Amino acid sequence: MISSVHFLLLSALMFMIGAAGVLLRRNILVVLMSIELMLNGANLALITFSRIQANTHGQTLAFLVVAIAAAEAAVGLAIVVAIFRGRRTTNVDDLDLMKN
Amino acid sequence: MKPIQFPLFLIPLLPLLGAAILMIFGSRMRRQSVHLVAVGAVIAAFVVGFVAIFGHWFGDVSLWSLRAGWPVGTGHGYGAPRLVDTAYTWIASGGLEIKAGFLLDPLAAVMVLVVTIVGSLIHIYSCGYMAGDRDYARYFGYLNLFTGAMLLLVLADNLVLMFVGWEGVGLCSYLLIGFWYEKDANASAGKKAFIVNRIGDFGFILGMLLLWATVGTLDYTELAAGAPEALLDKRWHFFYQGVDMLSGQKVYLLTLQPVQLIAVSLFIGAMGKSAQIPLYIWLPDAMAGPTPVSALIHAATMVTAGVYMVARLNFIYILTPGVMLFVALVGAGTALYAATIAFTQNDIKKVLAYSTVSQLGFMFAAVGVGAFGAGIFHLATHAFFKACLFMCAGAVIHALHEEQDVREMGGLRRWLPVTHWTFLVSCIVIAGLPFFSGFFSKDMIILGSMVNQLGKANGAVMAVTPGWMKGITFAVYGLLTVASVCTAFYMFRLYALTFLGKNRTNPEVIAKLHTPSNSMRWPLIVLAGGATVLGVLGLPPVMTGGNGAYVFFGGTILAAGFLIWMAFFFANKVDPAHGEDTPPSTMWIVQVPVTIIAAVLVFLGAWAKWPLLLGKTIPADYINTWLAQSVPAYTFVGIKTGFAHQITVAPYVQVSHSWEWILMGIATLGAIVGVGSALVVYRRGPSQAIGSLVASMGWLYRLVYDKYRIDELYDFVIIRPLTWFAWFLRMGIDEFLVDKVLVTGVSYVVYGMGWIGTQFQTGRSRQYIAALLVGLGVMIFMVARPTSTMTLRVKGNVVHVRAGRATDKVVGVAKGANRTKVGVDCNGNGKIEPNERAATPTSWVNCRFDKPGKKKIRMIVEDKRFGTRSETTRVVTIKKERR
Repeated sequence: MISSVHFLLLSALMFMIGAAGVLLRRNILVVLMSIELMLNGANLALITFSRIQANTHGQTLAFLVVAIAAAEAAVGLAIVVAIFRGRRTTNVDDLDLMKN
Repeated sequence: MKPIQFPLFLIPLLPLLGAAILMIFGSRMRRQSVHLVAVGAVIAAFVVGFVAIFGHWFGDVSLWSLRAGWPVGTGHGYGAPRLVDTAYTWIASGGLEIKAGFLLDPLAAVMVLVVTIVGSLIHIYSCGYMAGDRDYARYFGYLNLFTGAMLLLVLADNLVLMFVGWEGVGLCSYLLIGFWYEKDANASAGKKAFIVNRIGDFGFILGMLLLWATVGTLDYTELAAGAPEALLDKRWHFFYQGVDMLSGQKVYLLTLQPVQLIAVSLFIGAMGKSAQIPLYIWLPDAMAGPTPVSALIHAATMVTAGVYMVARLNFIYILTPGVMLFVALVGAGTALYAATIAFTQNDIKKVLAYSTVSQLGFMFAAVGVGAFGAGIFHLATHAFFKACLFMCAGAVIHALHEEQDVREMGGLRRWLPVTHWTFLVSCIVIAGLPFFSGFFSKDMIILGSMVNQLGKANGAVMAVTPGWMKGITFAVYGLLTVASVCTAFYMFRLYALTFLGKNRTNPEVIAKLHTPSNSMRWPLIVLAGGATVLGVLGLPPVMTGGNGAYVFFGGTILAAGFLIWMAFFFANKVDPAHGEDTPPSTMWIVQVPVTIIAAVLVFLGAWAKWPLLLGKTIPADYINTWLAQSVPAYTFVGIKTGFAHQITVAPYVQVSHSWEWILMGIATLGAIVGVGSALVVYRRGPSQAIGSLVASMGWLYRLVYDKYRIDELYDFVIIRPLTWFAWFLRMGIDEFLVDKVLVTGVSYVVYGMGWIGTQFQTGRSRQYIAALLVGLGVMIFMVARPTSTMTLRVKGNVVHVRAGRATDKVVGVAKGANRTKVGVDCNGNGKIEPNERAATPTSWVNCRFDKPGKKKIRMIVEDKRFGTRSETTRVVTIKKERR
């Protein structure tokens, strides 16, 4: 039987995969996509908690997260384009202006 | 009787105002207005002081008239008639209240008169002496500042205000010694004076603090009233030795009363200011200043501040005979020591400087043996004759274009007649030839030092004077007697080398000789006159009656006449072979009046029935009568039985007339020997005989000539180690420890740590995120980790145990099967029995122990959700039950 714990495990898995993508991939577009995955993992956890506690708080928050994810994707992509125009690269490791 | 109010603040304020005017506007003022302001301010101060003391002549109440109606008190210092004036409260801090208050009692009155009279004369003299100096206004500004500070010192009614004056005169001394600061030697002489005085002032401050800590006040009147109990009752013990077997009391190697430390500390201040061994070294160097400054500050007034201070605090000093005798010994030792140095000096001002040190020694010897009145009397006469001597020396130096070496002088009486006569009179005074003031004041000191041996107290309880104390006072007497013979000798040596014999100066200098102006001449005459007649204030009791007096007087008149005659004889006897000049035909014009003055004094003293001023006769010991309510005239230095270490004050001491005659005779004889031998040896200036004598003395002469090489000793013992230590502080502590290790080192450490920090700033966002995730993981583990703490309460043989709050928070939420289980293993069998389980994760489990002893209690917390199990073990001691 599929219980809440399984949902939570899936959510954790999605989050971990996303995190791994953020950490390991160098292409900035893939990093952004991985962030989306992490957000969705979090969303799943929220909805699961909402179900466990039998209220709608988690679902409300999940909608908020979806909206923010959309905004983040828009702004993030815009930044990526701007960076690419300036530096002709999509490799995050090249973007080290904050060094030292 | 109550003291009366009088605006005493005016006395120090007027010269201070003068100083302010001169220092601010002086550079734009004409010379005439400069010295008008300067001299005017001091004379104005004198007038105010005079009115305060003798105002009854103008129909007002004065110190004089107040004193006449004052009941004769037994206490010294606080029973005195006085004028007072409290300007305002200066410091109010906690229990400390210092008023800017002034006090004029007979003692302060003497000082005010000496300072203002001698001060005005020296101001007048300075107008002539400094006429050619470009810093005329600055000079007079300092001089006025000095006079104001000195009057503040004298008139203050508490130690702190006195200290303001004390430091003020020290500052002026520094400024005026280094007045011609362009020359390095002058500037460093000023520095030396300042620094040596600081050493003394350190003692002064310590004394003040101790006094404040012990008595709780620094006001003279309150001190005098409350001092003995507080100062004597408290005892400070040092070096615990053990308990005495017989008496059971603790034994200490050293037991001090506060009064001893206070008296010594304050005396160290006096040593610095008044140039006593071992702090005298600055005074001879202080001669680098202009000569009137030497006369005013380093002879007549400032350097006597120490004597004044000891006399002012006589009520403290008489509580500790040991310290008094120490003061007396230091004084007498300085008197002889400085006199021997004066033998060999060739600089006219240096001789006078050592003479001043020596005379200050006399004064300290006087106050040390308890003859406070004598000390103050000698202070007053010394102010006159030494100021006169210095200013004569100034006139000589001025005349000879800054020549100070007596080997370049000789025969100057021909060109400087007034200077010569006034110098001679002052020399006679300081040498202690009879009937001049120096004779009387010195005689009084000598009498004071022999009081322990010869005196009988009138009415006072006799003190028990231990043998060693008698021995010390006798040693003081011996030292002083030898010192006064030396004084007579070196003063007449100086006189003869300067004024007698053949002139040795470069003829070109003589041709362009500066004759002293009138403003330089008249102060000399007034001072010499004062030095002559001032003795009338201190005639010894034997001279005011008795048949033996006439015989003595006859003899002394003859002796004095003979001496004066001898001086002229040696001076004027022409030796054609050596081409010495002929005697001035005017010599009798001065000699006769001097003899007449001496004779008049003798007769005034002899009968004491001749009306002197305002129908009053001259009483014996007038100065002591005048001072009696401020300071004791003579004291027995001794221990009063039943009250340990208290000196007995005899208000009036009777020494038998025959002894008084004998002491006087010895003193006279000594003076005659000193004067005579100096005139015999030096009448023609430096001679072959002296040269060979000096050569035969060899190293001894050189040692004395080099001032016993004390300066070199100090340099070796104190200054060099200090310099080395300072070098170590600079190189080792400052440059290495502070600069290298602390300042640079700290910056390197900070920089290094910053460098390490920057290494984490790779600028790569992926690394930042990884660090963030790791941190997040750690935090989650920290928060979510099942923990348990244990709370114990022991009541008799029952121990209540529960899991702590942290457990409750983290694990308390779950319900049912997942619920956290808490168990306590009380009996230590490793199992949790049903009665050992907690009902809820935070409820109590009670463990009962039947036997006392140490018990191990183990709490186990199980969390099914995480599958964890944590154990906590504590040891409890169960005590035996009391029945």
